[in-house]
Amino acid sequence: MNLDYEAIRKHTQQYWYIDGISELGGGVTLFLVGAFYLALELLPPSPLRAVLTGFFQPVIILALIFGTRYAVRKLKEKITYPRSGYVQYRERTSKRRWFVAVVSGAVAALTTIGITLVSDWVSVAVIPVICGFFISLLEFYIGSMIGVARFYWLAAIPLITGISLSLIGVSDQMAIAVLLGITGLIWMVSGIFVLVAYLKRYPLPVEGGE
Amino acid sequence: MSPAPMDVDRIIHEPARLHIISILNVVEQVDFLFLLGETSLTRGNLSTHLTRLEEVGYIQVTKTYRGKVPQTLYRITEDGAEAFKQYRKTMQDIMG
Repeated sequence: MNLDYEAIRKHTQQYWYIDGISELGGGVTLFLVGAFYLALELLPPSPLRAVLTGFFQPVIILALIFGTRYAVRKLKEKITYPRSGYVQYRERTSKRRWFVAVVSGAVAALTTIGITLVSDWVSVAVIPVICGFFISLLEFYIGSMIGVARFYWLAAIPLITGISLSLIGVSDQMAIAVLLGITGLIWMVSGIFVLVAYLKRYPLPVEGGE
Repeated sequence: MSPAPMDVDRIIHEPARLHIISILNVVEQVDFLFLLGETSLTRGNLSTHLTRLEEVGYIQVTKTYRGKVPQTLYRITEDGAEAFKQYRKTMQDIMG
């Protein structure tokens, strides 16, 4: 019996993305983070702005991430599991969790240091391109890990947006807000298209159970 | 010495059961509906294979409820994971 175990593993992992709900959730998070940065940028320098930037920024971002994760789980319970079945994926082992946390932290630190160093040497106008490149790289990595082709197309958007913002000459903080907002919006649109296609393909079964 | 074809675990070697156990080997647990979609078996056929795998202790079955709807969840046991690992090794050795 010749069975492609790797294909089965990938296909099972891809099931998480079958309905577009996770993209929709990710898109909402990115869009709201972008909107938050935009609001900060539009606020005149004041103690309120300092408090929002210093204290509320991580709190709001974490709240958005956890809130979206909860909403995605609830939506999947309502929409996906009754139509095409339930999968509980394996939790990452604590060793693997540490590895992911350390690598993510290192990438974030290197990106920040890189942008700071580069901003001294090159024009500030290039920063949106660099940010767009890193977001694209991350999306491309997700696409290659799970083998979902549409993530490659999605990966092109932040890079194109970053280059466009750079050419228009939008300031760096505003550019990051717009970059996140547009990336989030495209993810939401993609998620909605996938969800509509999924709902057409998987109507609610008439008979339940087994 | 390479293993003989009769050393192959017949329970796992059956194509439908091999497919089921391959899926269960990469997840924590799944429900019947998911396996139905992934394997493209009929309900009766899938049910028969799952019962066989449960009988030999390769999978664990949990009856529960999702809201008010009954739900049956399947997960691979340690014995099942070990048997699957051994099966793959045996097949690799036979194939060379």
